[in-house]
Amino acid sequence: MTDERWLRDALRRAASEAPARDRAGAALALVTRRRRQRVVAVSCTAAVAVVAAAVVTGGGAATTGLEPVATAPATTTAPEPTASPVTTPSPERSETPSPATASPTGRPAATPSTTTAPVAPPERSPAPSSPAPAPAFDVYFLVDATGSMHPHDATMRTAVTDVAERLGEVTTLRHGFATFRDIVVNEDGTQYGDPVYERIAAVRANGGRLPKLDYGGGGDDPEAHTVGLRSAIGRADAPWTDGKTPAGFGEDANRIVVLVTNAEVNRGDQHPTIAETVADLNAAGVAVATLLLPPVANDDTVRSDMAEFAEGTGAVAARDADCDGDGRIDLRRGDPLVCDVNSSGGYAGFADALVARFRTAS
Amino acid sequence: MEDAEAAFRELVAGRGDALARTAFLLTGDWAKAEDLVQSALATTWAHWRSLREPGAAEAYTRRCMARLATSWWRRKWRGEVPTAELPDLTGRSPYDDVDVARVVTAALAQLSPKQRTVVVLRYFDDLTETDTAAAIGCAVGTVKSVHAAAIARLRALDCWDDVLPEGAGR
Repeated sequence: MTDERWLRDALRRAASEAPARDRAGAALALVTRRRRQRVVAVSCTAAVAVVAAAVVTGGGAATTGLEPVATAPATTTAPEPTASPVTTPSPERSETPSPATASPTGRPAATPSTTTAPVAPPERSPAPSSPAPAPAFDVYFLVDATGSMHPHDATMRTAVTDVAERLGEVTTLRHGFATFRDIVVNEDGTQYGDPVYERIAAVRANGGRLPKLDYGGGGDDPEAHTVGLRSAIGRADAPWTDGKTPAGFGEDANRIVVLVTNAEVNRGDQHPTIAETVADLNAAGVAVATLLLPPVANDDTVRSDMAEFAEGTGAVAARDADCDGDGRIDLRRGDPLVCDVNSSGGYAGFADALVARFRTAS
Repeated sequence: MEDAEAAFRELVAGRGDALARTAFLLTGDWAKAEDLVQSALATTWAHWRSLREPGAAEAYTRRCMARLATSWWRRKWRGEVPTAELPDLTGRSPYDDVDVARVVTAALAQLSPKQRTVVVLRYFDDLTETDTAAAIGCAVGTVKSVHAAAIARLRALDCWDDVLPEGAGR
């Protein structure tokens, strides 16, 4: 065996100089953070035990929304159980909802279809005449984590947090997060996922905040929205995914995917079409609304693609909406629920538009 | 405790850059490399009391990095974008080492996580096969077979002529 001098030389030149950084300080800070997380986890476990004990004795109250973990013990002091729909226990989560039977309240399931013909938006049933608990809002934030989204991280994060917090205030919210990127085809025909879909957290009560994302990849402008969406509903036939990490939407909940992206849909051979995806989403009773970051290119195509998802799955504005709270109407009644995100904060209006469209009882 | 922290800081001040360079080759990305070093150093600090000398601490950190890099590769986005066609470089420029970094990271991206780790530990950190096996947590025989496959794969790539000095055989 040779000593592979060529390889040693190449490796040394490739990593010839490391950026200056306080690595010891960073490591010590990380240790402190890890210890703090362990303490919080223990506190949280204790709080769950107390709540469970309170429920057993009839004195507990459940909470929903985005309360910080550290405040969890405070919920145990709530003196009286309440009949408010907000505290209605969420249905059991189903990891792999059957497309044939899964339908959120008010949105009848369609027959699964493999046709590529456009699918009409499903009609909604009228609201029940007698008061009934509002169905939970199961919201899955499907975030484009390709390189072009990196510059928008702070803005996007604020918007997602705004929407989740607002939904937590006015609905029985369960939420989760996933990222999608793209399938890349090499010139020799080989492919790899970037990866194409990664579930960060399944839909659940107190779903927390969007964690730090690793942006990158994607290559060309279009991305794998359709694969990501099909993966979110557990379609194992979506390329480069195994269908084993779906959103976990509840049986009786309003099921909504909030796409967070700035790119058009990849129309490559290996990608399902928008029409196919819309058909699958309707079969699974899932609506798709979009928080749209400034597109890098092909602005009209990006908007048209997102509108097709929204209109195809019935995600249209039930009334005029001001998505970003700047006092101007962004969506007219009947417009697809696609809102531009171009400033930091104030996106509760988007959440209100979702509620106006999908809440069937109050 | 203050003495221990001072010793830890001294180790990182002396060897941090070297660890970061190894991490860069393991991850293909400086940002991820810093994450990797930070995680490995944090683990090292958590076990500091059982590591009696700086040499042992550095070896322990390197072992953490090797194992973390492999597990991160499995479960997270890998950072670089491997391509079948490696960057085409013609002539030399003042940015030679930047170009070399691109070529080398793209070439390493063609390897499996374990192959990549073996190559970096053997040829950048100059570890023996035995030490490499200990760092990765596998048998020496596994290191040998992984190493052979990795070298064959790297030799087969046609990117090297642009970055190696003239006459450097492979």
